[in-house]
Amino acid sequence: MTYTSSIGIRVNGEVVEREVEDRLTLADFLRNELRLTGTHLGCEQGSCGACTVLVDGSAIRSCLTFASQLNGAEVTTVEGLASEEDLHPLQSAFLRNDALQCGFCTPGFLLTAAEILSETNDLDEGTIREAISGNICRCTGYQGIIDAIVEVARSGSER
Amino acid sequence: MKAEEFVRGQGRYLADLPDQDCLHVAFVRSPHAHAKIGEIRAPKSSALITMCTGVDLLADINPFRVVAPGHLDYEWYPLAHDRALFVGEPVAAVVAKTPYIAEDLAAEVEVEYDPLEAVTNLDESMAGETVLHAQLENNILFNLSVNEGATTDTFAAAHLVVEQEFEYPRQNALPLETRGVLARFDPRDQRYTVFTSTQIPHLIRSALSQILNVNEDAIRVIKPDVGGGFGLKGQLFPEEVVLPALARKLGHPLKWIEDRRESLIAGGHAHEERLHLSAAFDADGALLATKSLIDGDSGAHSTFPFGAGLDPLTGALNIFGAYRHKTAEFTARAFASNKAPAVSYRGVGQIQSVFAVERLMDIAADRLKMDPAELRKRNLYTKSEFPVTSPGGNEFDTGAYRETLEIALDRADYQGLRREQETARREGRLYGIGLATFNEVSGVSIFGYDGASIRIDPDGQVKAFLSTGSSGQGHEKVYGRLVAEAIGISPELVQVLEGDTDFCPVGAGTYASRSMVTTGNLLESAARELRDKILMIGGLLLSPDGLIPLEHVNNELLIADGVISLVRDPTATVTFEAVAQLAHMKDFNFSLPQELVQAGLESTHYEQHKTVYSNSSAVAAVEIDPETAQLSIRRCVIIGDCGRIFDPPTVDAQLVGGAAMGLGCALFEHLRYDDNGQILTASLMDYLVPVSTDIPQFEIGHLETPSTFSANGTKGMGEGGTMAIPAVLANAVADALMEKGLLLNKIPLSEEYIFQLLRTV
Ligand code: FES
Ligand code: FES
Repeated sequence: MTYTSSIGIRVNGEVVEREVEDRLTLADFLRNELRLTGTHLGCEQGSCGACTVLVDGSAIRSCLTFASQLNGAEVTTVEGLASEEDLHPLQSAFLRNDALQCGFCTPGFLLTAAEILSETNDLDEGTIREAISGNICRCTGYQGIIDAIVEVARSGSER
Repeated sequence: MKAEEFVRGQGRYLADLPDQDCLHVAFVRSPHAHAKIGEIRAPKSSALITMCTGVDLLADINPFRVVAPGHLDYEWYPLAHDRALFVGEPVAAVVAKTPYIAEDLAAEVEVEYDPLEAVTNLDESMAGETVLHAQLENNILFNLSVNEGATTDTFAAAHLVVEQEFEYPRQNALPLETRGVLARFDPRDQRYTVFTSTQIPHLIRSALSQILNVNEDAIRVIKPDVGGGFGLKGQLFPEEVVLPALARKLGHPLKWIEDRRESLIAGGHAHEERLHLSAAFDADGALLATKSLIDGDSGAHSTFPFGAGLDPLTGALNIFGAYRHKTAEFTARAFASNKAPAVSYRGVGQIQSVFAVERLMDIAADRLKMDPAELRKRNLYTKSEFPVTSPGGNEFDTGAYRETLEIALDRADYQGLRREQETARREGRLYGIGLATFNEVSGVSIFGYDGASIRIDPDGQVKAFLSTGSSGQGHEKVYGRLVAEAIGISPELVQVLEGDTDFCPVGAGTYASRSMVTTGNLLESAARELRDKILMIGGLLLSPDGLIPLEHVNNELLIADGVISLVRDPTATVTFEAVAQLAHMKDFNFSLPQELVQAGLESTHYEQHKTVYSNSSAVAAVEIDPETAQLSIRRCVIIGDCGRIFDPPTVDAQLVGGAAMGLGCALFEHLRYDDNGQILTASLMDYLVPVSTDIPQFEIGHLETPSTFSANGTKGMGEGGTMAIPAVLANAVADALMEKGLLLNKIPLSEEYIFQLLRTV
């Protein structure tokens, strides 16, 4: 017996209405139903942060959230950060600072960082280190990621 | 650009491939470490499309033998059909419409197990009361001794002999992207297409051709974007066989994505070893002879292509490699146990041996009453001594080992750190300084040849095809630049293609820090060859006297930014694109004199590369809280020498990222089993890897001593940072603990272990 719910949510600005199985995770909904495969799954146990997306502005783990809980929510994934031509400042800073190698963790870090920066630009390296400590990167050693976020925070506070 | 695709979330990893027409596979895995398999009953559900057991699969595949020198070979099957040999070993596969349903059904499969005694550690395996493989007499899967007895006299006459046993734990490379396979079989052309998240596409194809009993040509292996490999994705896994075999049988494409639990229990373990080392010194501290016994716990199976001996043999072949000494003997063995099979993980074999050797050097320094830095300097090869042949017969072309250590000591202000230590000790603080210095084997080509091929299209678009395969190291960027620079054109024209056996030259793939050394060199040769030809055609168009012979093209012609010109008359130019066009198609005014220049712009180079050795030195300073045993890393300097540096940011990224991984290996990473062979670390809550707050500021630097074995002067650079950290931190912690530190002989340096050392009386 499978139970379903109908949901209407806004994903990267577009309204989507679907009938979903109650046990379908937000991550699988985004990836399989909407083909937004930029949200990655590294553990499905809530431990790695690769699946991080923004729900109503807060960074959440889409592997631990059911799509059916999100009726009426506003979801932002990595695909919603850039426009066709312009990268989001965080994306450009990640490129400039060698903040990625294999890129698998990158979407999760970008959205985690987007949440941090939406709250304040008054960030030093230590605060950023702390704030991203729920996300795992196996390639970079984190330094480039931290440098990139520091750079965006600085340019934001100058503005 | 790859990196831009990645930040946009447009990477195409295995799980992202189009799969609308796929059915999904889930595996039924043994909950027992060792058990006889009885009847397997499929769930009675209309949602079940099929179930395939190990016995069912026997009809469709050939048994497979991992044949390598020193290895005892036996038949390997992707699904256990008679006995399950470790928790997590796949015993059946179920197919359903969605992954959710497949997983539900896999949980409902009933398997009758008859549990047997489990072998869970080296001692039990050596005792051999339970033998895992019926085809073998004991649990030794690999055994090789070299120079047995050769050091006996030197040891007997030596001023000092130090001897110590060390233990290194079982670890998992943990790429953030788990493995996955998507397999198709096309009945019209009788071909398999196997997408797999791997580092070794061609070796997978060769193995599958034997197992599936078809020609290599009937299999296309494609590696999509890979979210990290670190060695783990450098072997053949059961799922890579089961999916294509079932896809053919069902006439349906199939997909399987490993979950993290599967990955931690069955996706390949590494590094677990016990090392027993002895070293003989004279009264001045000169190293005379070494003797090493390395025993690896290789889990249930010998895996393809490296076999069970991978870790112990790699360690033994290169042990004490940076230190001058006359004689050495070693034995490397691998034992079977009821644990997941051992595969490779960055730092293969050497992360353990470097830790053990560097600990032994510190113990020797203590006994000789010498400063550890002095003892190392006395024994490290210096620049002027190269080329060197090690007592084990390894050839080192170039190096500057002592010099690398001196730079590291300087950078860390070693004397200053020692003064700081004195102050700290007076205040009752536990402050320690550690050193580590070693050379690292790279560019290993045990499977023969690698290839690189360049094809230039009539419109001047350049495609480079390689036998190596990036798993996130940035090959596309580095190789693109390399080709562009060698030809003299914009990197934007160059596309780098790896990991598709239908297009790429045959070769061994990417592991052992080998890509830049192997295909990097080949690519450069191919690009140079094409540049010469492009210049020659340019010469035909520009030079009034017509043909400029190949030997002279580089003196008489230039190519820069895609424009070819005559040296003696720079106003006469022709574009690279125009030459590319005329190399393929004639026009009204010009056709190639074919007796002199063959049409087309393509070049392919193959070779087997010689092994090259990089080296690194590290200095760390740590402080330990005497109450809580908490470890704080105050300084960590790593200086690497990987020969010529082609792309500094990529080298830095490998060094720092590698060091972060080494930090995990040194401090937390430990796959644990209980006495019954149940794995205790099946989630990221139990198997810990470093997060941002764990990483100290690594201070890195380079020395460039170009290799003479590789035409481009490079040596491998992917693993030095990783290998350095367990050794350097172990020595720093031991130094902080003073006499108690002399007992330190184990990794990981968990707070629990440090606490235990602190409390010893
Ligand atoms: S996949 Fe969600 S936290 Fe790892
Ligand atoms: S870039 Fe590979 S995991 Fe972060």
